[in-house]
Amino acid sequence: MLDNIYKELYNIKYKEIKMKDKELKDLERKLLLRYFEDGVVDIYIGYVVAIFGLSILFDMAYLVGAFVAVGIFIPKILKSRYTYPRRGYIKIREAQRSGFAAVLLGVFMAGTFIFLLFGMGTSNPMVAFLRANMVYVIAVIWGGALSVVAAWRGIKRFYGYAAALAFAIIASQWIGSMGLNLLGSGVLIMASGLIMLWMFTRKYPILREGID
Amino acid sequence: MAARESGTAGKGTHGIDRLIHAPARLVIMKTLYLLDEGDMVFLKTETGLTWGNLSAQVSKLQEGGYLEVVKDFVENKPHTIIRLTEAGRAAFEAYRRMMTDFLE
Repeated sequence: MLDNIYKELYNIKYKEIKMKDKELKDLERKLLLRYFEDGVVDIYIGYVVAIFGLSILFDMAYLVGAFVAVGIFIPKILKSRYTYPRRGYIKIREAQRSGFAAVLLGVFMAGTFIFLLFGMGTSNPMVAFLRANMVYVIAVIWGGALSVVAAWRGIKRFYGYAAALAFAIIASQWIGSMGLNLLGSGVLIMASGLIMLWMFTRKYPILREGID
Repeated sequence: MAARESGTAGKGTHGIDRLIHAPARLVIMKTLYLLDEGDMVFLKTETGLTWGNLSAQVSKLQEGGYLEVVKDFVENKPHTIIRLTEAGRAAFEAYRRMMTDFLE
């Protein structure tokens, strides 16, 4: 009887602690969400997608790595130029940064898995199935990666990007080509990010430390 | 000063940490608790405090050993980066627990 009461009390306390942790997590999410309203991440995602599209279109896959590596500086430059003077600078916590790395690693591993799968030869029914549905596999990887970020960060517009990108990839079977559709999607996502950045600069004036 | 840095001098009624308990300082602590670091512009936009008030509250928390403040210049303009110290992080967690227990 007493054991049950203790268990019940423990459960109540445990739930309360969990709830308060959740409140803090929600707060953290809101804080970071405000920091993503500048559209800089959107511009970078659009850039990466467009570069993939261009590399397929002009058959220059060897340049993807170089372009994506150069593009890593885009968010840093834009944040320093437009975001930090208006909303201030923050460094997100290590756990959050590790989360981003995990998403990137996930996409990389999915790509490697497909690559290895193709090396197994067509006699394998799994490989044959994936080869026959390659477009859908690519759509799931791109759309899935963006959806994971959307769910994890609570950035709802990323669901839209994920759906648009998956649609553009699948539609390449009937309209346009994979390269052209990726390029188009990337340019659209970049444009959306640029509009957000423009609105952001209009909404928030530049602040100088110590000057009201 | 030494007592203050250890966080004991700030303890008020029921052991509540008065250094954190003031609303402006509580918002600063809560905001920084969620990050690795942030600058003064960010704290200003998040807290809505005036520069003078923000600077005064940050100084108090820094004196208490809860914040680490790094002053720098970017393009000839002052740029101050602030982060919670380990003591500050622990103090905020203790404050959260204390307030939760106290209100129950």
